[in-house]
Amino acid sequence: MPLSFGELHFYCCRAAFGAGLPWGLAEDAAATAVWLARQGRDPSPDLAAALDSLSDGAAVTAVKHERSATECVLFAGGGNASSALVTGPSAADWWQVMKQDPAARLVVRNVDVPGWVFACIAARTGGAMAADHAADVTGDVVVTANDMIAKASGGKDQLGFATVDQDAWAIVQHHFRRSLVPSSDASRASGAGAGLVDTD
Amino acid sequence: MTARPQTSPPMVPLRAADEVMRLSRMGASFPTRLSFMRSLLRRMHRESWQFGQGRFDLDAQGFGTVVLTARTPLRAYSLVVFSHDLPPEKRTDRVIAEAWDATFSLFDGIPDEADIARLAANTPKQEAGRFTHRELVLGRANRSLRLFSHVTGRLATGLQPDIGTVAAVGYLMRTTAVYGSGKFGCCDRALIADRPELQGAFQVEMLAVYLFRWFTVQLIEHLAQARGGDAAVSLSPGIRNFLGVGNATGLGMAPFLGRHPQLIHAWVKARETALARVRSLPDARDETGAGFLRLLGRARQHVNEWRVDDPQQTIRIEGLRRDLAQLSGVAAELVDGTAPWERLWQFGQDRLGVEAQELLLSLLLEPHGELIDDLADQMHVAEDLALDPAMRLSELRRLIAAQQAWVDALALEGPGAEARFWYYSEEKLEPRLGHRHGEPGGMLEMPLAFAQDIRRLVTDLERELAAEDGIVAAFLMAHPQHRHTVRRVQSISGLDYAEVRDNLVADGIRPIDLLRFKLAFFGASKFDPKSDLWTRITLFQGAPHPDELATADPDGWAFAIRPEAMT
Repeated sequence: MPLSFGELHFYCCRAAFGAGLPWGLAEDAAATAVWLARQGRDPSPDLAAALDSLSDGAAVTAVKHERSATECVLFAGGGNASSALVTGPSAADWWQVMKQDPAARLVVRNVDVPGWVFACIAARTGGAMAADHAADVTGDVVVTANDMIAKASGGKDQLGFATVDQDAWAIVQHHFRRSLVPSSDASRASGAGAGLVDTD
Repeated sequence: MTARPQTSPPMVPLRAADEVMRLSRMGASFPTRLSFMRSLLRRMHRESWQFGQGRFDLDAQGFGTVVLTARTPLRAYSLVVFSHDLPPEKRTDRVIAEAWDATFSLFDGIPDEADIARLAANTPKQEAGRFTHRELVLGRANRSLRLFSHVTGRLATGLQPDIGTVAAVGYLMRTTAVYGSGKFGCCDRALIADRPELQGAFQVEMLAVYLFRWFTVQLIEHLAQARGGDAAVSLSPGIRNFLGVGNATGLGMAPFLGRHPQLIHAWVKARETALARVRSLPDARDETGAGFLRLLGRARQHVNEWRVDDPQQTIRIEGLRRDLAQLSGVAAELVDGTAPWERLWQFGQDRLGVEAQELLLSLLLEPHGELIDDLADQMHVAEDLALDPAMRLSELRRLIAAQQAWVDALALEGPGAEARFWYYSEEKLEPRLGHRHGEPGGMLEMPLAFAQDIRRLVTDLERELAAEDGIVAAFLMAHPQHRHTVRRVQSISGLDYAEVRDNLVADGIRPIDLLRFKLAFFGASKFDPKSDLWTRITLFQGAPHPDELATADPDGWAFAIRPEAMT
C-alpha cells in the first residue's frame, strides 16, 4: 500500500508511542522511518520487529554508555539486548557529538535491530551509509568515519510515497492503535469538538 | 498607498509574546489582509488565473459530479465535487460522520475519466478512501438546512432570497473537514512546496474551499432552474458575493498549533511586524486615512450584523460594538495629525477591550497593502525541529531561562492545573479533550502540556547540574522522557511567538480560543462558538467569485456586510 510520507510519520510516531516509548523517542522513530522511505527502502519490517521486540520485553530500554577520548560504547548490560528504538536515537546523538573526530568510533552492543541504529544515525546526520548496513547488518553495531559518507548532492532521495510490506505494516498498525483511547458515550458527548446533531 | 518608510522614525517595537500569545488575546483574533485567503485572492488576481467548468453532471435533485478548474500561469488545479443524497439521520458535522451532502478532492491538473472514476470510488468515503499524490486536498460539506431550501425555493419562483435569512446564516454549505498535506495518501506538502503559486501557508487548502464556494452557488442555481424552469432566476450579484462557505471546526486544529511552533512564530511575527510598520508611520496620506475611516464604518456594520447564540460571545460582541462606537468618535481627529496610527493604537490600548484592540489591528493593516503585503510570503517556513546533543546543560538551562520564563508566571500546582488531557480517540482518530481524574486514557495524552513539560525538565536539569555540567546526549539517556521538550526548546530558540504562553491542560481551558486564533489567520469571520470545544465560521464571505476576479478589487471584501447595507 502506498503511503505519503506525512502518513508514514504520523503512524510510525504514534506506533512507537503506543509501544511504550516516550514522545521524543517516538518522534525519532518516525523521522527514521521517513528517512528510510526517502532512500527507497521500506521501513516497516525493521520498525515492526523493533516495536514487537520492545513490546514483548525481548529488548530493554535502559541503556548505559561508556566514553573514552575517541570511542563511545552503548549497551544495555546484564546480557540484555537493547531496543534499537532507544539506542538508535542515542547513538545518533553521540555520533553527532563525535563525528568531527576522524578517529571516532561508536559501538552499540547487542541491539535487537541493528540496521535501525544505522538508519537513525544517517537520518540525523544527513549522511548516507557507505556500506549497505541498513539492509543486512546483524549483531553489534560499529560506526566509524569510514562508514558514514556525506550524501552527494542530488542524491537518491525519493519524494512522493512509501510502499510498505502489508504484514509488517499490520504490526505497525497494531501498535499504532495502542496509542488511541477507547471511545465511550461520555467521551463522545463531552470531549469532542462538535455537536451530535448539526442543523443550521 | 503608503510606501514603506526608509528613514526615521525607527520602527516601534513588536508587541511582546507575553501579551500576544495568551489565550485570552488569541481568542479575540480577527482576520487581516495577511490572512491566507486574502493573499490567495491577491495572487489569483495579480497573475490573472483563469477559471472554468469542466464536467457539470447534476440531476434535478442536485446529485452528481462537478469539476471546476483553476489555471495558473504554470499549471491547473481542479476541484472534483461529488454531490450526494444524505439521509437526515446521518447528518452531523463531527469527524465521526460517515456521509455528507458533498465530498470533494482538489486534483493536481485536469482529471481524465479514469481519474474521476477513481475519485468517485474514494472521495465519498473520505478517511476510508485512499488517494494518490495527484490529490492535494480532501474535504466534505453539508448543506445549511436553514438556508438551502429557502434560497432554492425563492430563486425557483423568480424571487431573491430574503436578505435577513441569508445574513443569519451567511453560507449555503459548510465544510466539516478539509484535509491536506499527505492525509490518506494525498500529496505531501513537501512535493509542492516550491511551486510559486502555493507560497504562503495553506494556499492549496484555501483554493479548494474557494472553488467549493463557487460550486455551492452553481448548485443552488441549478436546483432553482430544475424546479422553476423559465420562472427561475439567478442570485443577485450582491447576495451571490455575500454568501461564503461555512465551516464547523473542532479540536483537530488545536494539536496543530502545538506541533508547529516554528510555523506559528512565522505567522505571528509577520502580523506583528506589519502592525509595527504601520504604527511607525509618521503621518497618514489622504487615501489611507480616508480608507481607514471608511473601513471602520464598514467594520461597525459588520459587527452589528454578527449575531451568535453563545451568551459569552454575545457579551463580547456587545462590548465590541460599544468600543467601536467610542473609536469612531475620535478616529477622524486622530488620523489627522502626526503619528496617527500610533495614536490610534495607543487609544485602543488605553480605552478599548481586547476584542476591539485586535479588530483595530486588522483595521490599521487594511489600507497599507503596499507597506506590508510582502510579509505574507514569510508566513510559511520549512520546519526543522532539530536536537543539539552536544549542548552543555548549563547552556540549555540558560536557554530555558531566557526563552521560557513565561512558564514561571503560570500557576501549575493544584488539582486544576492538569485537570484535562488531549488525546486521539480510537473512533476515527477524533481529537478529544478528556478529564484526567475521571476518564481513562491519561497515559496516552498528546504532548500539549508544554508548560508542565518545561517545568519538569527544569527540575531534572537542575538536579543534574548540581552534580555535573554534562551534555544533552548523556542527559537524555538518563531522562528520555524529556527528549521532545529539549528538542522543542532548542528548535524555537529566538522564536518568541512559537509557544502558546498558557496552560493548555488547565481546568477551564477554552479550546475555541486556539481555534479562533488559527481560523483568523486563515481569514475566517463571523465566529459563532457552539461550545468551548467547537465553533462555526464563515470563509470567503464577500469575496468576488472566480468569474468576477479579473475585474474585481481582490482586497475589497474585508468585513463583509449584507448587500442592502452596502453603499
